[in-house]
Amino acid sequence: MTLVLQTLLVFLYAILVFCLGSLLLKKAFRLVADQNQLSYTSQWITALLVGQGVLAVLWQSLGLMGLFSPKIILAVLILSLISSGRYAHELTRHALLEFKGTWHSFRQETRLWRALALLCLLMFITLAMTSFAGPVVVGSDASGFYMVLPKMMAAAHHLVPTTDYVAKHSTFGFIGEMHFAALMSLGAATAAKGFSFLTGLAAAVMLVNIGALAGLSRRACLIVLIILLNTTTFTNYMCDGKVDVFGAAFGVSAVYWALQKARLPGRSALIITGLLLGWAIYAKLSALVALAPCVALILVWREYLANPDQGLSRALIAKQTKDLFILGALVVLLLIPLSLKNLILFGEPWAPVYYFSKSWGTWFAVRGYTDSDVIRLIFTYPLALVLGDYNCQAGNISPLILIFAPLAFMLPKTGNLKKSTLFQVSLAALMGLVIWIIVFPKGIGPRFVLPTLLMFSLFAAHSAAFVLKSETKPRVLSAAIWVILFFIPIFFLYQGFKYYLGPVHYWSKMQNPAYEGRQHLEGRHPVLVALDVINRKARPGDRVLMGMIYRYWLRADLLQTLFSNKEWRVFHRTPWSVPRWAYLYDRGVKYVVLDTLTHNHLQKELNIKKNGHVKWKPPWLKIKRIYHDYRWSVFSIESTDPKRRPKVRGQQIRPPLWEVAPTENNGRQKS
Amino acid sequence: MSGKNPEKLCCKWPAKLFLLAWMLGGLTLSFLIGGFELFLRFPDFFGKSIMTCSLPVVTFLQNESNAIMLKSRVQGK
Repeated sequence: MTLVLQTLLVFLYAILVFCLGSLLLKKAFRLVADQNQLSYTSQWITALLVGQGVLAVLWQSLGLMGLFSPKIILAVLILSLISSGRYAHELTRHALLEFKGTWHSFRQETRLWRALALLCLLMFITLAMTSFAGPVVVGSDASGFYMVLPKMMAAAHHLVPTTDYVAKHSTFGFIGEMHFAALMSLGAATAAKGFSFLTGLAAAVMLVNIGALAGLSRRACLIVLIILLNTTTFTNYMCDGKVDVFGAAFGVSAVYWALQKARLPGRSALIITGLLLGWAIYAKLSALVALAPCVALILVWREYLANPDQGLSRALIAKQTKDLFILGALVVLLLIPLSLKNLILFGEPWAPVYYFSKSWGTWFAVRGYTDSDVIRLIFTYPLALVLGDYNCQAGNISPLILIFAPLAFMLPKTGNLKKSTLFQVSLAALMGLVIWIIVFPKGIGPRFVLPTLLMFSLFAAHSAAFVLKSETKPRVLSAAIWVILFFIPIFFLYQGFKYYLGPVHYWSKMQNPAYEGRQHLEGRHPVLVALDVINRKARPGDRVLMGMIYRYWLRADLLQTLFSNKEWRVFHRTPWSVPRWAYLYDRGVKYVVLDTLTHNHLQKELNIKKNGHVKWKPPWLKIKRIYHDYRWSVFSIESTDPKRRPKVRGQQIRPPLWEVAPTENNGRQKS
Repeated sequence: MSGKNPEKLCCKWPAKLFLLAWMLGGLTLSFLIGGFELFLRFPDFFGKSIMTCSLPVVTFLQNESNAIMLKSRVQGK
């Protein structure tokens, strides 16, 4: 399928997901749409997200049952299109009209504001192009796991867990991954990651809608978008096939609906908040610590403000407790599929928070900072979030938040601060961040607390917009704000695209034949070539030992029969290289891929010299290095003893799934 | 800080200068972190000396993190 068709497929899929969501939320929306209290775009996005949440769980269940076939996926999507009917169409029409109205309203703006809106649009288009058309990049987490699991699932019609370095990832909640898998199953290959872009776009719209609720002007909302677009931890993940934007979109939307509490009749806002919060936690478990308290605080605050006469009466406290209990119950309910999946696949129902088996390690134990490092790290907040480049940090939040923050002192003092929506959101976000730092001081990564951090953009944007509007001559602050608004996005967009083949990056580097991006496009990157060698040589049923994290390009059948966690454990326990090589052969391994940088230990375990020679190996085994470039090598293994045959190999017992099963002669030659 | 009209912002010069310095400082730092590499591609445009002077500032926080990472590796974590 061509890239254009793949892109269209992603858009069509998103519309069908929306249809399902709108069907589910029809009643709740009807309840409020008449009262003109909600924007249509926010309803549209909420329907899209609810559809995503429901379908992710459905796809996962189908995967566990081995029923994840294109026919069933298509049937579900068509069914949701038919049943959603006229309501989805109406909602879409209204949302488009609303969007068109907002866009046209910028025509009345001054040239500078229109130029800023254009810059914003160009940045979104650039991100979309990178997301839909850019390849999966060697070195990205997507090439190690986030696009690998969907590829296996689409090929096998089963949810096949990943192993080795990315084994723990399989215990996480899957939302983005399930949609990538569905899209891959329907024919979109790498363009499937464009669904991340659409979800990121949804997060952006919901953030602007929160801004509108908090009383931000149209100009301030545009600044919010500019801030979002140079939050590299957001823009990076809109493009590269990782799934952090899914958690962010659900989280931001949960805050939006929490702000609707007591404005809408009944408990509709509370229930939608609970659903969105539950899926936000499902998609990114760190939201349990950083976002859930933030949402709970907003809910309680809104209810308190809605009942000014009651004060802190017993009745109000009882109602608040009941509401929070409902919120918690919804979150728990939505986390059940995660627990069930981990129970079925690994026998670990509490993963990834708690593992019965010590071999898994613990939640968030991956960072090796010492206590003094942590103290130093905490003292660099909030600079660390904006300018830091710590281990596993992967991007920053926008410097505009810090740059514009002191402008908040210029805001006029108005009425009661506790009634200000902007104040509520900012304080709740601050609380969420502080709780996160206390509970996980080593978790220095804006992506872990992304929805919470994005809330800070609102007051920064509001303050900047106020100064631009109100400053008297000489307007030096306004001049500085304009310079910053135009220049920083360009710097940070470049920085964000540095690893992800952004257009500016192409422009500056594509002249160099050794540049990785160019190698990627021309299929010359050593990793692509190494895996291509195996893809071409390996026969059906051959197995590969993957001493490399990046594996997206390996054939889907070979991916499914990679070494299991149990086999890796046995391998590591085997005392030295001779029995280890024998074990590999017995387990049907025909090819070994080695990345000497990430799997240096494997090189030692197998006693492979720098020149690729293996001295200590079974005498009956012929090991040959069939590819080598820089740090990547591929070895083939063959037995010279006709009596010696592998005990297991990859087989299609339940096609199209590939499984590891004993060979007929179980390692012995037929007589 | 505020004048009589809440819609109009008339702040005193010291406050204005502080805010200006803060924002331009942020812009400079952002340029050094984010935009610096962009301009590295055009050495004739900016000149080697500016880059040499800016480099320590650019790598300030990155060195900090590298030190932590190296320490972690040495400790085998």
